[in-house]
Amino acid sequence: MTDLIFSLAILAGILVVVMYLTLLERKFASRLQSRIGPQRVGWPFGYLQPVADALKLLVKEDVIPSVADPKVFNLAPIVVLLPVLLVFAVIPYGEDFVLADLNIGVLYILAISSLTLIGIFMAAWSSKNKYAVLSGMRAVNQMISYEVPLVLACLVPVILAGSMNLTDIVAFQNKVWFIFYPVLGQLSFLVFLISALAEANRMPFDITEAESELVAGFMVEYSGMKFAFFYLAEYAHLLAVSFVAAILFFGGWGGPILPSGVWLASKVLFLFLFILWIRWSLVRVRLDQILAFSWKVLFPLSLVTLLLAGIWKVW
Amino acid sequence: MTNATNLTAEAYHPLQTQLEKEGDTLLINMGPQHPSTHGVLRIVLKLKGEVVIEAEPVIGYLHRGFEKLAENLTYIQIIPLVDRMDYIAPVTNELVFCLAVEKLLKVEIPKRAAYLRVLTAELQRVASHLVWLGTYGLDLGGALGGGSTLFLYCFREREIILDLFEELTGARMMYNFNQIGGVRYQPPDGFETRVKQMIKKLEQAIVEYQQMLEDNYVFQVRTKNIGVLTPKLGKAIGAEGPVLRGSGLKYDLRKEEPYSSYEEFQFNIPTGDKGDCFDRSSVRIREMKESLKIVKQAIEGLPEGYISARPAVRVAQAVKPPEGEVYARIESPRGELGVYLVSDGSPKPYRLKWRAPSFSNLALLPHLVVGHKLADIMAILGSLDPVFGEVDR
Amino acid sequence: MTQSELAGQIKERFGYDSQLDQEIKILVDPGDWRPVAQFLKDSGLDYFSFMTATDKRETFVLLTRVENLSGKIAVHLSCRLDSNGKIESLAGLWAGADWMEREIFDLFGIEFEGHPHMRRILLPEEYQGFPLRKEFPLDQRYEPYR
Repeated sequence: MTDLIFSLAILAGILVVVMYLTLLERKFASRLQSRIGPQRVGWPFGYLQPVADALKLLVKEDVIPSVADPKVFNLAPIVVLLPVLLVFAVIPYGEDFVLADLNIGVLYILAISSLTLIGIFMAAWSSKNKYAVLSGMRAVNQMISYEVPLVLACLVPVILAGSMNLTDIVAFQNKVWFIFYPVLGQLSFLVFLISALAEANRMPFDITEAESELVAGFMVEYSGMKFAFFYLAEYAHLLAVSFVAAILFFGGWGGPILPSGVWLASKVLFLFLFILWIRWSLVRVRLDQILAFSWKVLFPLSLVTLLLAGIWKVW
Repeated sequence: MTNATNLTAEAYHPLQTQLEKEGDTLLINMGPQHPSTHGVLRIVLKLKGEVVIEAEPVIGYLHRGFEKLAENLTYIQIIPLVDRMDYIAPVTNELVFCLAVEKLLKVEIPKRAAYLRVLTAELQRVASHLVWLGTYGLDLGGALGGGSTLFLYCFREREIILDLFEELTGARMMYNFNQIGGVRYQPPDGFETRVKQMIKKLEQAIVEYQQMLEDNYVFQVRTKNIGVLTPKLGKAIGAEGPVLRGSGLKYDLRKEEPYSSYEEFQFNIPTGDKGDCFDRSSVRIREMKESLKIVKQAIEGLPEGYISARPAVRVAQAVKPPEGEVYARIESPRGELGVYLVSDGSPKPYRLKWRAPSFSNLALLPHLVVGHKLADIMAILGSLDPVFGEVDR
Repeated sequence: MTQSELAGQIKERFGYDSQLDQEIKILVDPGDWRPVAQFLKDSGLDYFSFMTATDKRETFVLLTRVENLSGKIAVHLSCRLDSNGKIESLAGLWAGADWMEREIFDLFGIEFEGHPHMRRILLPEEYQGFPLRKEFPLDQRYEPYR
C-alpha cells in the first residue's frame, strides 16, 4: 500500500515539477534575451503561468484530421509520455528513497527511454501530413544513431562502479564524483550529454521540430491535451536526463554538510539550466551533419572512453 | 543558362495543396504562409529524399501596382509612396528617386544636404543589415532557440538607430526625409553626441555578433559551401551588392559612380572569396563596420548651409522636369537599386520603372538550391536577403 | 574598350547610330534585337541590369540595360514594337532576362518568343488584362476574373 502511495506521490510531484520547468525555461530564456518573461499571470513572477497554460490546453478543441488513422493517432501521445515517466521509478532521490531499487537500473532506463521513438513515429505516420512524415523519418534516423553513443557512455560509470544499480553507483561516488576522473570522466560526460540532447530532440539537434522548415514537425496535427502530452514528454525527458546525469556522473545525492535532497536538487537544476543555455544560444545543425557527427565522432569517442574505463578499473 | 523548369502548370495553381508523388520524387510546396520565408513567398520544390532537384519561387503576393500608381501622382506625392517599396531601408528608396528627378531637373544640391543624405543612408544600411542578421538567426536557429536570442539582440541595437531617426525625422519607419533638391529636416541639438554614443555602442556589439556567428562552429557548418555563386552567374542575373561581393567581385556603386558626395569619404569594400552563404554573411557584417566609419566622418564633417536647393514646395504641381529619360542608381543594402524615369514635361511621371535588387537576387534561388538539402534552402534564401516589398512592388 | 570604340563597332556591323552620354543609347529594329544583344554579350557586357517597356500609346518601346562592370561601359538597347508585337527572348543570353521578360509579359502583354516558360509572374495566373498599358484604367473598377 505504501508503495502505491509513494508511486502516486512521485508521479504527481514529477508532473508538477515538469510544469514549472516550462516556466523556468521561459524566464531563463527571456533573461538571456534581455527581456522579462511571463509576468502577469501570478504577478509579479508569473508563477501561475503553467496553470494557465494547462487550463488553456484542456479546453481546446480536439482536432483529428479526417485522413488520419484515429487509433494510432490517439495512442501516440501516450506512447511518448509513458516511458519517460516510467524512468522516474528507479531514480534514487535520496538515501533509501527510491521507489524500485532495480539491480539493472541503468539498463532499465536506457531500454525504456528508447520506446519514445516508437511513439514519435506513430504520431508522424498517422498524421498523414507530408511535413509530419518527413519530420518523423528524421526523428527515427537521429534517435537511432544516438542510441549507440548514449549506451556506451552510460556504461562507463557502470564499469567503474561495478554494478548497474543506481544506488550502488551513487554510493561508489562518495569519495570522488565520476566527473572528476581525469580525462575519462569529462569525456564520457560530454558524450553522454550530447547523445542525450540528441535523443531528446533538443537544440542544437531539434531538426525534427524545426519550425523554420517543417512547422512543428511530427506534432503538427495535434492540438489540445495531446499536444500538451508531447510538450510534457519533452520536458520530462530533459528532467530525466538531468537526473540520470547527476546520478551517473555527479555523485547523485552525495555531498558534504547539506542534506542529500538539496544536493540532488541543485545538481539537477544546474544541469537543466546548462541544457537550457545551450538551447538558447546555438543555431540548429542540419540532419546529415548530425548523423555524421554521431557515427564519425561520438561513436569512436565512446569506444575510447569505454577502453579507458576498462584500463582504469584494472589498474 | 536559364533554369527551365519542367514543373507542370498545375503545380503552380495555389489551390493545389496535396501534390502528387511521381516515382521517388516528392513535389512539395513551401507555402506563402511560413514561419521563415522573409515575407510572402511560395516555393514549389521537387525533392528526392531530402535533396532538392528543382525549385521555383512564386512571387506576386505583395504586388501593389506601384508603377501604375506612380503614373498618376505628382513627384512630390510619389516620395512617401516610394518609402514602402523596400520597407527595411526606406531612406535609400527616397534617395534614388530624388537623384533621378534631380538629374532630369539638373539641380545641384547643397553640401550639407548631401552629407545628411550620406549619414542617413549609412545609418539605414546598418539598421537593414541588423534586421538581416536577426532574421538569419531565426532562419537557422528557429524561433524558439538560439536564433531568437540573436534576433532580439539585433533588434535591441536597431532600436538605438531608430531612436536617432525618430529625433531627426519624427518617424521610425517611413521617414519621408529626402526631398527633391535636398532633405527636409535639420538635425536637432545634441544630435552629434548621440550619434557618437551610438557608434561606440554598435561597434562593440558588432564585434560580439561577428564572434557569435563567424567563430561559431555550428554556423560555419551550416553555411560554408552552401549556395556557392559564381561571379559569372551573378552578373548574368543582375545580382549586385553583398551577394556579388561575396563571390569576390570588388564592385560597389558608392566607389564606382559616387553620388551625393560619397567620393569625400574614406571606406573599404569588403569582399568574400568563394561565394557561399558564409562569405555573404561575413561581407554584410564587415559592411556594417565600414558604414559606422562613414557615419562618423559624416557627422564630424557636417558643413553648414542650406538643406535644400529649392524653396519649400507650396503647390504639388510645381516640380515639372523637362522631357527626357534618365536612369539613376545607388548602392542599397541589397544591391543596385535603380530608377528609370521617363518624363513628358508634366508634373506626373510618364513611366517610372523601379529596378529592385531583391528581384534579381531572388531569381538566383532556383540556380543555387539545386543539389542541396531541404534545410539549406532557408540558409540560402536568408543569405540573399530579399525584401518582398521590392520584389513584388 | 571604350564607349566610342564599342559604338563604332556597332555602327560598322549593324549600321545603327548611337547617342553617347553616360551610357550608349541605341535604337534598333525588332529584327536586329537579338543579334545586337548577342554582339554586346560577346563584347564583354555580361552584367544584365534590367529590361523594361514603356507604352507610348501607339507603340511600345522596349529597353534593356547591360553593362560591363570592370570596363564601365553601359548600353541602353531599345526597340519599337507595335501593340501586338512579338520579339525574341534574350533569356538564353543573360539569365536575368528570364524574370524581367515574364514581368513585361505580365504587365504589358508583349510576348517573347523562345522564352522557356512564359507565364505571369506578379499577377495571378488567371488574370486578364495588362495593367501597365495606358488604356488600362486606374480609377475604375476592373474585376476581370471573378
